[in-house]
Amino acid sequence: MLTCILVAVCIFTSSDSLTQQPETHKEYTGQLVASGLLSAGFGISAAIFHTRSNQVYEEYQSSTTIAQALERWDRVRKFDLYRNVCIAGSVLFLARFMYYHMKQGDEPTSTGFVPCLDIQYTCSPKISIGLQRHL
Amino acid sequence: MKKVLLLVCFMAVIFSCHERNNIFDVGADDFVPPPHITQLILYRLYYDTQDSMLVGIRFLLPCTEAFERTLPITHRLYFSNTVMLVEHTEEVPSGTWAFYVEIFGPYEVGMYSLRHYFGGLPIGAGYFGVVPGPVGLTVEGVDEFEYCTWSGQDWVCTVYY
Repeated sequence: MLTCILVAVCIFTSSDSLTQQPETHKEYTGQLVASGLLSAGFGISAAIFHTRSNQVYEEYQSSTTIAQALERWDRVRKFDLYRNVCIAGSVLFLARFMYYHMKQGDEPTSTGFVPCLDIQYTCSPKISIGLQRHL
Repeated sequence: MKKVLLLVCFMAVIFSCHERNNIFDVGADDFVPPPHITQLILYRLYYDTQDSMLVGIRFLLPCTEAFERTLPITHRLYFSNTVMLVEHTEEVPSGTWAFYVEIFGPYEVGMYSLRHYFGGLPIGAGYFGVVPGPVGLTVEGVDEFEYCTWSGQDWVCTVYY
């Protein structure tokens, strides 16, 4: 179920970015917030499942019958699987968060004009230095 | 970012270190089954000195082979195959071929069964009947045993054939 949620969220966020026009400052912020929240959510879920898994593992270790031991080990495996899926989700969205964070850092912050070196090749090459608006 | 990812991956690996180490877990790598207990040999009868009541029995339990590992074995004494009178669990050390178990009553006339379990799984059972004897109660079909009475400080046993 968690895997389905993870995949659904990935598709949703990916399609969101694909269909939109060139990214702007505001869209990066949205991606950042979404990725950060999802990463934190998966991280918290992973911690909860990890704690639960450890509790069941302690019960497993104190099992006194074969049936108990097998049943509790199955539960340990189940919680471990959920935890690992959550960790994977958390890492995925953390990476996404870091990516947009760095991408946002590359964007101009105060002005749309940046210094540039413009080399134009014509019949007689000339170099012009000035300000060019960043698209 | 690479460091963070590596750290998270490392944590994920560390978190996945649950081992199957319960001695009752048949899926564990170091799981060792106990040997079967096929016989129930009467070894001693304990009597109350004053009224010659049968108060306890020591059973010798031979195994089909030696225990490869120290394992807990549970004994349950049933009366008439229906009522569980007592349950006792003990650790049988590795290398044991035979061990004894003492169960103190009081006993009454009837059929008893002593069953042995490992982790809830039966590994052997034996039946015996308590019948009236010349002096108090005795166990049916037993030719050789030790008759023990309490002297005030210790049990004094006499071998009977």
